[in-house]
Amino acid sequence: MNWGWVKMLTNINFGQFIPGDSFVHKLDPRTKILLTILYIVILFSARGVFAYGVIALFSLFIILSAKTGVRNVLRSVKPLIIIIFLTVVLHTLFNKEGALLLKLGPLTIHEGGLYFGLMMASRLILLITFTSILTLTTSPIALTDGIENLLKPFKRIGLPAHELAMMMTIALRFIPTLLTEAQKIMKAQQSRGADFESGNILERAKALLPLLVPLFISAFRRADELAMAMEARCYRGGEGRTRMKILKMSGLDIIAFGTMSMVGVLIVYMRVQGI
Amino acid sequence: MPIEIRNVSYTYSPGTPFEIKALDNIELTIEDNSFVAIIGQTGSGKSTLIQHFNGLIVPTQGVVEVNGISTQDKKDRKKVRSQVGIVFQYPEHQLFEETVFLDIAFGPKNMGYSDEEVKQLVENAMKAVDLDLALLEKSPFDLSGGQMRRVAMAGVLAMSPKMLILDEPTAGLDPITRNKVLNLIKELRDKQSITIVIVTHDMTEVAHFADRVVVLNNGQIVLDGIPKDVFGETKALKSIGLDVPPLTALFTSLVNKGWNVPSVVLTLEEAAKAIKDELGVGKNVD
Repeated sequence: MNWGWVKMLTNINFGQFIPGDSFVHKLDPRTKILLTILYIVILFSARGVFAYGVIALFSLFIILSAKTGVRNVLRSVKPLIIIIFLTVVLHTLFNKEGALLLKLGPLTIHEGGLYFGLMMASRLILLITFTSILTLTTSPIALTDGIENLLKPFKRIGLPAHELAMMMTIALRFIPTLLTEAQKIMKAQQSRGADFESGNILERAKALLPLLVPLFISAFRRADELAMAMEARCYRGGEGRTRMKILKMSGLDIIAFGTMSMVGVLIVYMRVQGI
Repeated sequence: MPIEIRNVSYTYSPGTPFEIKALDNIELTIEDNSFVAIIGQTGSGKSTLIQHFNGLIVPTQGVVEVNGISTQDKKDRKKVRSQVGIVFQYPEHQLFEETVFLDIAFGPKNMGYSDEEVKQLVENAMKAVDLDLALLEKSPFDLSGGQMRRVAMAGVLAMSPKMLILDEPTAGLDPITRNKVLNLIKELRDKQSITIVIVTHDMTEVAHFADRVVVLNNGQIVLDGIPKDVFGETKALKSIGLDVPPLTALFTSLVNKGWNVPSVVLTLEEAAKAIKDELGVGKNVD
């Protein structure tokens, strides 16, 4: 394991919210969550190059109009490049459907395999880039607000919607804090000659202890302090709490739902017609 | 074993929207056996600067040399780190072992000392921070806050560094423990001739202990000299959000009221003498 990932996470801040005033930013978080789910359903029911082309164009349009910078969207693909690469390679080498394209010793590449590999890769890339728009254009607070609101109906069957949302907010809030803390402890231990970068797997796992023990202790200490601070401000769960920002659907949300449904209908139509 | 910092600049996350220039063209030589205090507002680059001292951070531009060894080369870093120990802010947060002994032994073991040597180094470090050897077999998490901090300091000292860098070593301590820690640091310099660099916000500490003060602002050195000279620059210090020690402030206002006393006074004894002289107390008694 390389320590690059700690650096990577702090530098990239995957899915970090980028404030803006595009129409995607203005959508209600509930709309964005539901439409993202709908998008995934549409993506997985698409068949054929043209259907993917339609979805890709639509995604490109949304990504460009969200104005979060194409680089930030592409960055979200970075951590998954290896998986995408493996998908293509494995499909290409082991799927023996269709005509034989190339034969290199024991390795054969078939038309079907190449086709499926590329389809799966584009499906993954579309999935990641589009869903990253959700977190790039929605602040974590709005996002959890939206989730809490959407989960409300399930309260009757005993789902603790507010508590779940609060837990998510706190978890998201503490990711950067804990990463900074981890870097600090790493530096302190490196000053004492700790080596996180060399040795075999067993040695490296052992080298983690001086980092993980203090990190856990500090996480528990923070949790304790936070619980105390919340209690000191009379927090007692979601019952009867009012909100500063009340979620409200607007005409924009209706247009968004309409557009996405139209794309969905088109994709299903293309599938039925076999285009 | 001097540290030489030549023309050093450091930029965080270069080439991204989060780019920050933390150090800008720093020139600094830390002489053997000196007691240097680095002061400056939060965000002035103090922490970035001290992390250059043992190669935790490598400069974007310029050279850092410890005893003639550049921190640029990865292979030399372990050697540099055994010579320059850094005690970070709240060092007790880095304790992790089951017993105090094992925790202090972590550094020297990494440096490749034999078991016998490690034992000796740990005991010496415990004595240097004035801790009872009976604590060695206890869990570090059962100790008091002040003891934990001293154990953490011992963990750095056990590598027998020639130079010790401390980032706000007295933050969050009660006055008694705080004096104890400061006197321990002073003793390390006086008795074991370890060079001390201390980052602090407490001007009284600086006035009492340091023989050189380096003032940072926006990643640049704005003042550098003996405490008397630096604290004479009240206006310059105030303009970058720093303050002078209370005694200096008192004497500056006495001078402004027309008293004939020096404007910069660092210790209580000096202050008492200056006031007595001005009032002529000593003469009348005879």
